[in-house]
Amino acid sequence: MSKVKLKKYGLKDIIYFTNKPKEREKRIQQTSSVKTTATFKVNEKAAERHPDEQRFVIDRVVDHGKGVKTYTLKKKDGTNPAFFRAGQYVVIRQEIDGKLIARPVSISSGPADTLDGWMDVTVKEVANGFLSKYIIENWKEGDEVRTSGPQGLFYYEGFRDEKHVVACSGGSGITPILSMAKAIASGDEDFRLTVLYGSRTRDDILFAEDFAAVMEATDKVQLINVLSEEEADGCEKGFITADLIRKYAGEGPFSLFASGPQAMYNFLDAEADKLALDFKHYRKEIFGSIKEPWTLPGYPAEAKDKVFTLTVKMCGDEYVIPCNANENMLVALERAGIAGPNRCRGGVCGWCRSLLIEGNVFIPELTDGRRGADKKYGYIHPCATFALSDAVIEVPNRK
Amino acid sequence: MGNKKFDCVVIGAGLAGMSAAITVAKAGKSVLLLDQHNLPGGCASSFVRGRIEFDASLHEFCGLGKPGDWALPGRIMMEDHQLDIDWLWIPEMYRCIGTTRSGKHFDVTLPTGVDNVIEKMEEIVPGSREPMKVFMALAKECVDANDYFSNNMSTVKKDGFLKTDSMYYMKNFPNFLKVAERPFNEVMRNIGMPEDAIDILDVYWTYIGADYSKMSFVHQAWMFYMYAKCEPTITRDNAHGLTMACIDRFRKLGGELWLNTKALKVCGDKDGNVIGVLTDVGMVETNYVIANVNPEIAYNRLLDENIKVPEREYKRVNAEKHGIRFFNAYVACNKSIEELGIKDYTIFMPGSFDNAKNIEDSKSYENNTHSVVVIYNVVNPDASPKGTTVMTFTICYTEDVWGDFTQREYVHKKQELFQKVMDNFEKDTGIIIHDCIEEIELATPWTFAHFLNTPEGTSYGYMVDNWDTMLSRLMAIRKDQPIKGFKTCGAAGARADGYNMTYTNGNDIAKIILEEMEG
Repeated sequence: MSKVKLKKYGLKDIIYFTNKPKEREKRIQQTSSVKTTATFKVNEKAAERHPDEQRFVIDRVVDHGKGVKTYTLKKKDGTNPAFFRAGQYVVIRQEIDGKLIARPVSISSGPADTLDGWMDVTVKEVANGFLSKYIIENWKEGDEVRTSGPQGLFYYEGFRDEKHVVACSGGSGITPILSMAKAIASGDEDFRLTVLYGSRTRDDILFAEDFAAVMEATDKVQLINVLSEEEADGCEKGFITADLIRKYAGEGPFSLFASGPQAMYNFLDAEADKLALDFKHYRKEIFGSIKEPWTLPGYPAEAKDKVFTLTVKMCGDEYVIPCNANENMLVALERAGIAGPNRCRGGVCGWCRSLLIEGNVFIPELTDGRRGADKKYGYIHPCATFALSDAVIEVPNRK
Repeated sequence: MGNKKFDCVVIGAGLAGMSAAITVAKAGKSVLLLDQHNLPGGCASSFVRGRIEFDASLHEFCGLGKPGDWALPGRIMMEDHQLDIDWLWIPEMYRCIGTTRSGKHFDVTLPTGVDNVIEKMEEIVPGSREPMKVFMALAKECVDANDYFSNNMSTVKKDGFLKTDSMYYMKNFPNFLKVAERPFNEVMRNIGMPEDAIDILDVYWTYIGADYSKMSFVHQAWMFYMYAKCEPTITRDNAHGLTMACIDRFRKLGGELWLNTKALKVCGDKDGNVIGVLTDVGMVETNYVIANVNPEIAYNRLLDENIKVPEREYKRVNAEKHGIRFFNAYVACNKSIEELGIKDYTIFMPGSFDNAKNIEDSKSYENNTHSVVVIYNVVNPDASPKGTTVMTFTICYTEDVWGDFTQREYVHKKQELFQKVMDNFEKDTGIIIHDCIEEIELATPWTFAHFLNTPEGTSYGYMVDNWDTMLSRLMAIRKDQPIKGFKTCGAAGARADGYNMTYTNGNDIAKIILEEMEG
């Protein structure tokens, strides 16, 4: 291409060009050299909303019986707990015998309550539940405890979800749904919520009074108790079936939310199939790590009950630790006292993401939330990965 | 932790940090790359929601080139660094829908290919052909001059500016010297570009966040020409795949990557020489540090008191203005692009093409609904599962308009804004998405502040301004890095923002550090 002839530009523009860096320098030299200590509003708001850690003092303990307790938490420094989306959880971080153990726990209060300076978490003691047992037995008023900021994706999203949500929950899985109900009552969320709450007997029902108060405040929330082992007035008898969901969903589109134990999902998945719901209309809260990987298709039976050797590289250091094939790799790291960042314990959040350098592993498809390129380059989420041989992994710093 | 010693420590595994780390490691040096996150990449990242993986930020890589004919950034990535990236070329510059200052409504799709763009502009705005030819010829000269400049950045004059061979430029790039630093719109008028055509060319402003009546010609010319000639590109494995390709290469060169590891201080001895980096796993010995960190944060918080920051550097960071920041809506629909009737990859929906008005609007929440959307499946059939479509809407702000919202209203403000953006999109294009959204995530400057830790949640470093042009910054690239053994790189650096620019800047800065190492 031959050079263009520019009529309107000449030597003065070349001089302008040449002077440009000097002009910049002049401007710099005219500016104050005072060292700024400015903070930025946006960064402060972001830090309030997404704190790495929140330090609390237990203000009150409510014993619901049957190994379920609610802890009202207030921030140690007097500030408000981080505002959250109803349905989110926090990760409780507790040192036990010098080892940091972390587990996600749903928030059972409403988001607006944070503005009054408090937040509730509800813990249920589960069989072989290391941390839940510790909490139920030890946590008392005045204790200092710490959690992550709010986490998780199990919340209402108006652009995605229908205006009517049918929520199915079982046992203590009711907590995120309760939080949603409270958020509707306080005006922080706007949708119609029909709760199908499965319990064994009337005695097992949690938060009856809280729901009554919500339904007093708003007519957008409806609660139906579904009892599996008892007939009772005003309650449905049996399990949460497709027919029952249809009955209470009524006319018009709805989104199905589910929050409960793995066993409930196994049942509910089949019922949801009968309703022929789209992906987007059926959302489940993650239920934590998979417990018995050998029951899943594709698991090589010979690995069960073995204890392998896991070599862990972390920031230039190396640790050699045992890894029980029956437990996910993050548990092995926790048992060794070297667990790094983690949140969801269900394969999806990616906080524990690590590089698998050597070894064979089993990654259940159900909880495989890895990025595409991570699969290609051999990264794993240890909380959703089970060792099938001795292995070498590189993990993020644990601090 | 035992004693650890490295030839060089790179703080921050963003694009510039990764690029710098690869360049230094390639020279045979031991390099430690740190990132405070558990995931490397900075902006070059992705996240998973349900069965959808969203690209966090790679909309259109500019200036890659093609195998055998790489442009400058492409040459560094693909030839020098030999990254294994599966690129996808986008056979279209952009579609834009809106009304020009003259009151005419346009819905135009600009093709790629320099001659194709010229012909298309003539078709939509008669009288554009000849000025477009001139524009493209000037733009090419700017690209050539920039290439020449970038390959000759090692000689410094006494006053700290780069030494350039002015006779060479006079002979080979005379027009570059005349127009490069002149305001883009003024140059367009002086070469006879019709006003409607100027409006349509100005639509890229959201990619730079600058007022085109002030911004240097070279900035837009380089970008426009590169998009036209080389085509915009994305990668099959999204931005995280690009990051993984960088990290894989870095590790193969012997580099070490520590994640979730924060650099607390860069430490100096009593003579002010860099002696190490204090991290939250202990001290790492090194005499050379490259920080993929905004200089303001580096000077005020990262360097310990032994390392003296020249007064002129405090003046410089005080003179700078924080650049643009974004609202992003990451949206996945449970319908295919065919079902939705989508054909274009990039659609600008400025409403009005009036650049001055748009810049004014970009300072407010209420008026700023001018968005651009990229729809990945148009180019990448693997972008999301079969029968779904994944897209990102972006709005750019030139001021902090999100800082005053309360925690409680924040979510509603995000939703209210996206509702407007979606309504405009559906009205402008006739493409209906509101009834089939399967996953959605709305990100604001709060989100970027959380993940990037940049001032005000900005993504683009310092504002490219009339007094602070890319070329002036490049001429001062060494003057702006006066501390021996410590350099900063990234979007706030000499080449400003964008994947291409930050990656190239990381390489520039690494070369300067390597020179210092050689003494």
